[in-house]
Amino acid sequence: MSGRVFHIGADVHQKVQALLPWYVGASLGADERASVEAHLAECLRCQSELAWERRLQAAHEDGDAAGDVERDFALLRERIAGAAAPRRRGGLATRLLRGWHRGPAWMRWAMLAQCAAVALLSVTLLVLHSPDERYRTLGGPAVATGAAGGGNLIVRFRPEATEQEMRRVLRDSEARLVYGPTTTDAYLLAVPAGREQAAVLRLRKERAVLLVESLDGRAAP
Amino acid sequence: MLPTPRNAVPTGDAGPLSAERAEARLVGCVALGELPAFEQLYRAYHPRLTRFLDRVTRRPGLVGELLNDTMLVVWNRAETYNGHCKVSTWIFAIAYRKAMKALGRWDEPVQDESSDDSAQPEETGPEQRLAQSQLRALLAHALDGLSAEQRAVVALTYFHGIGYREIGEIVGCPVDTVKTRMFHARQRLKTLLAGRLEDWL
Repeated sequence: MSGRVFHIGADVHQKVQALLPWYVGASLGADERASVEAHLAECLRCQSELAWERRLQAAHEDGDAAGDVERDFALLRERIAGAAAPRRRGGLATRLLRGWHRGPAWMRWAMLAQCAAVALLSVTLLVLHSPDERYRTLGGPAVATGAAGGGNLIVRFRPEATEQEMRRVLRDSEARLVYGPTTTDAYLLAVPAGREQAAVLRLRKERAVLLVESLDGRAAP
Repeated sequence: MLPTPRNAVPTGDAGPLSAERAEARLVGCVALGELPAFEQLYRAYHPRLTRFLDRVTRRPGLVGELLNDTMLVVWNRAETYNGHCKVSTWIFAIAYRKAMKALGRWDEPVQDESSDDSAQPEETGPEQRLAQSQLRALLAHALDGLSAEQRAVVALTYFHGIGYREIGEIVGCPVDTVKTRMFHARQRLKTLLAGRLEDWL
């Protein structure tokens, strides 16, 4: 209750009397209290008001209600025990949360900025160093689904095979390129279900093909 | 001589600031689930909340329940107290909301139990007891003529020594509204107590 200077103006009595309840309650700031006391010293009308305020305060205090603290606290303890909810008490999160709220505002902003910077760096690192797609396993889920969802043949072309030859080979064997080349220059192909063996035999006849294998193992080498 | 403001928690050194810090520390301990700290806070606030809730609601039968409802919130939500206001402001604001909610739920006539003079001090004489009893009943009747919001401002001001800005925080309204409520409350009380209050002391 301090800080602002209380200016007494033209309606001085009204302003002083409006503050009298807090004057008798001892809750006015130093400036307001000094202004009120200065006016009271020379104003009988406001002194009379002050006397009335004091009587009112005394009258109320005379009739104070009294409770039974022992009984009431015992009842509340029962309620607390009855609730028996798993509490947050004493946890690290609770301490951090309280510290967060009680710290100065600049500290909260600084921590937020740091968190944002860390998050940005983490995202950047994840993007730059994401798992190398070249090491994708051929026996993974996409492969296991066969022609319906992935590949069912693995093929290696000769190094001298041209792109044009490779496209033709795929068309002739009704194969579709699913993935590749891998680190060993292999390609994963998908052929329609039931045509794997025929496709293997056809691909092996191609000059451009160095190696062909069926991933489900049914095609003979 | 001005009365001294009421402090809730006794401290080793005098001064409202140290008392406020002691209360804030207690709330911190309560947030960690320390029941002894909560009991200390409870005992410190029990008389203040009893008086406040009695003044606001004018229903003595409700006071104990509302008081425990208030302190249960303190127990359950102590970790949300962020120190931006006094502990007393925080707790009285909870009590005020509980009281207003209860009054909205209860619309039965106010029971005037203040006319019961069985609790009079032994040293007062029969005539004085009778006069005080009558005047207390008159004051209770006058307070009943105020709204609950006005009674809250009156109680917090006169009997808890709380400033108008802090009262604004407790009841959730601007300072000017607090002063306006007090102005109308005083006018009403003056009318209802005309010529009687002077005989009190």
